[in-house]
Amino acid sequence: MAVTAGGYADVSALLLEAPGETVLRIAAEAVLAAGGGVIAETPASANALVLCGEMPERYDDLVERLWQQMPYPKTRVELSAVSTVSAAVDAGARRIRDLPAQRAAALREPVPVVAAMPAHDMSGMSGHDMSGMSGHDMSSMSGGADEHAGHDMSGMSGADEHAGHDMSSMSGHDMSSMSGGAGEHAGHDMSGMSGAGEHAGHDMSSMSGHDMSGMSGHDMSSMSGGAGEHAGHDMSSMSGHDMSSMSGGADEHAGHDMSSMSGHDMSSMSGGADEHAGHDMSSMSGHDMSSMSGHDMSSMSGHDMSGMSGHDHMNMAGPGGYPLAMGDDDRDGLEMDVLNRTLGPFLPEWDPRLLLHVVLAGDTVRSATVEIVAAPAVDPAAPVLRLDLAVRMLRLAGWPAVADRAARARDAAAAGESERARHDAVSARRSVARSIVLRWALRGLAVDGIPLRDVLLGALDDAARMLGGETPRTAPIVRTAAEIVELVTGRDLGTARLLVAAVHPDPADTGAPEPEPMDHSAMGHGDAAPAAEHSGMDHSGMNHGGMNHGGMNHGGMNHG
Amino acid sequence: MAEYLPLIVAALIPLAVPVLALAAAGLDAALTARARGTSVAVGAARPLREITRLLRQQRRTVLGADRLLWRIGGVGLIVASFLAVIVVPFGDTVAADLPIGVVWFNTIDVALWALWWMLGWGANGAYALIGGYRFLAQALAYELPLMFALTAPAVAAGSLNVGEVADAQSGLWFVVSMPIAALVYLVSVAAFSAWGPFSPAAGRDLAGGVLGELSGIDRLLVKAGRWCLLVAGSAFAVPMFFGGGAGPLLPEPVWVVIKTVLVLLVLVFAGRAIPAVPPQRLAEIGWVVLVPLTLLQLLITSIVSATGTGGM
Repeated sequence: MAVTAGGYADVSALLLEAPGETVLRIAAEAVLAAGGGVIAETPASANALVLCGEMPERYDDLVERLWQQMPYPKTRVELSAVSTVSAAVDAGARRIRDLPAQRAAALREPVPVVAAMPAHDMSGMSGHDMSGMSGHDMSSMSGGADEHAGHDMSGMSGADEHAGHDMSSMSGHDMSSMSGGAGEHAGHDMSGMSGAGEHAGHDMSSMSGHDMSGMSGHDMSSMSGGAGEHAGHDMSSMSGHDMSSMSGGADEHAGHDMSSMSGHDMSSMSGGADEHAGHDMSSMSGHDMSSMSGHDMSSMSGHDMSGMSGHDHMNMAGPGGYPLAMGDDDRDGLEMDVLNRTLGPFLPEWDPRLLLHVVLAGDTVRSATVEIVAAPAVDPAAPVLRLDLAVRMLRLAGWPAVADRAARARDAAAAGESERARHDAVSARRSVARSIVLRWALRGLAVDGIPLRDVLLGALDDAARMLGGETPRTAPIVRTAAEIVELVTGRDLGTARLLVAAVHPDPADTGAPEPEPMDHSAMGHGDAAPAAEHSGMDHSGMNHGGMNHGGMNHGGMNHG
Repeated sequence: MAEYLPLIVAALIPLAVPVLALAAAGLDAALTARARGTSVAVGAARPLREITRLLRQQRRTVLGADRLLWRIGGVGLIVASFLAVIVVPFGDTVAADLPIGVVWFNTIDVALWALWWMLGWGANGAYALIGGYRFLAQALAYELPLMFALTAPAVAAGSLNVGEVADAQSGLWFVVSMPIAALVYLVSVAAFSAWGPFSPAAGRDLAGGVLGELSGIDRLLVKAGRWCLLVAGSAFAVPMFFGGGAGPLLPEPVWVVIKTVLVLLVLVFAGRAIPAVPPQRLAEIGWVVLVPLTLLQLLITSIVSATGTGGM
């Protein structure tokens, strides 16, 4: 071993695995563990950001955000091949200990104030999602911390034609992220979006076409109004439902309509005029925002942006400018908060090829859409990968002591020490098989009819068998995007994570939105340009269908 | 001199509890290194390295954090552990000889609900918040059994004073005469420390949950606080179930410390041997199994002590 024992005892590494680079990540884990280092769960607790493989472009912003979230002292380590892992980690550990340099770097930056967690999974406010939108400028918005949020938005304004589109596409997920930033500026940038005055109308209209319709059932129709003229008027008509006032194209009225909308979400958005804007925004749910685009954005400033975020549910900005969760009826008929999040790609024990956009009610996955990112092929049937699956399941099941033994087996297998690996795998399997508590904790959980406990035992068993030169009895479970959705829907977060960890995403299925009505995910693709057609906008798909609330906006929001 | 002893004990508590906590963390880290197949010596020293690392780490904050509640939760755990130990008698000396010491301990334990939850809430992040709620779900399951488990020794001793509870075991330790209460108590200590099978509030599936957003000194205080709670729970078990300072040869305070260490060892090893219990399933056990069992224990204890007293 190139490293003396204890060489990394002061290293806490946040391992980011590029899609398809599982083997590299395993090698990094082994090198760190051998030197006494630990694997961090969050950027807050890490001092080394270890990139295992080359990240796809769409993850770049996310990686940057995670880096920003890490407190000093910190270093970044980029790994490209198993053979050079030791040297790279070694160099990183030395940089962490170079305190004068660390102090100087820290002084150049303000004390980090970051959005909690989000970055970690794309979810956050932080704009990660934005990246998906790329192609549009949104991505830049993510900019992370509070300060910029808004700025980038301006970029969007760019082409007039899109205006409408982008907004729309963003609506779903990203809006939220924009908000992310601190409340302060947010607003400013927005204005940029408005882009050329002429379009304003257009966008509206364009959106209207799509989104509105989606919203249909509600009054959206009026919004389309495009030109400034109507703005105010429609509001009233919409009243029954939300959107009404949004149209707001003209600056003058803006405010008025709002009222009518009330009861529902959008109410104030219309706000076309800069003056009011602010207020209402908050109430508007995601969609509307889009429509507002032209004029109002500017006015919406600060407050609302965030609110727009989620689709509907999220309302006004909460602490730090995040969207607050909106209430919705839970299965038991009691009101429950609803949050939109994206799980992945960099959660601990998560396959980075997988992006799971979820609607959470409390900690229950209300609904989900899945994207599977294209990546170099990894053979999930290899003993090392079977053992890695067991390690991840055991860690998620909250049994680190046995997970460590399985990890030892995995690392030995990766190093070619089959006999030792087999011995450790058998030992880990024995613990799993014996545990009554684990049996009870996993009771009733199954993938494809196979109890989760058997998936775990099978992975350990088969790995041991293959290491001993025998043939495996089971095959790793591969699941398509739609099947993964089915797996997690209605589960609590912990259970959903365990179930997802038990399967491998099907590389042949990207979770493309076409067949499904809720293309939430459209945005994620980064080529969301034709957003209008995509359900992204589609109210029906996202809000209602997706969130299950048929009518929840109304109902839910009315309470307020 | 004698009148200063309680003060001396009180002053030693904030030193001794963290030392034992560090030892327990070192043991756990050494066992982790052994399971992982890496250097056990390096593993054992890991908590010390972690302390120096976190002391040097920048103190990060989170957008929109509820800083006041977050910090209270962060400092609170370790403070609560000290407060719990002040009613533990070391021989004849107690830092705070409260007539209602048992209730005092129970009060601290209830305060932990708020402290853990504030940690989750303060971070203004979804995972941390879910972690906070996981703790509450867990607390809902263990709290009633714990209260009944604490009641049993008090009923048997006819006192809520911890010293008198310890003295009442001169014949038979309560761990023998009321094993269910003792077991439920130990399980609850692991639970309120979010240790071992009761750690889903800080679960890896939540990317660290309530711990996830903590860095620097804040993280250090919370991680240390967890271990200190485990130590405090072990120390309080000694007068409640393990005969207090009773033991041959050695002076009573030494026996209290030895027994505390032994209970702590049991908690560390047992915590590692058992996988996480999903909080939502814990209520089932807590209310359907443990509450009736502890009530039964209490009934037996009450009958025995009532007839025992009547007989005299």
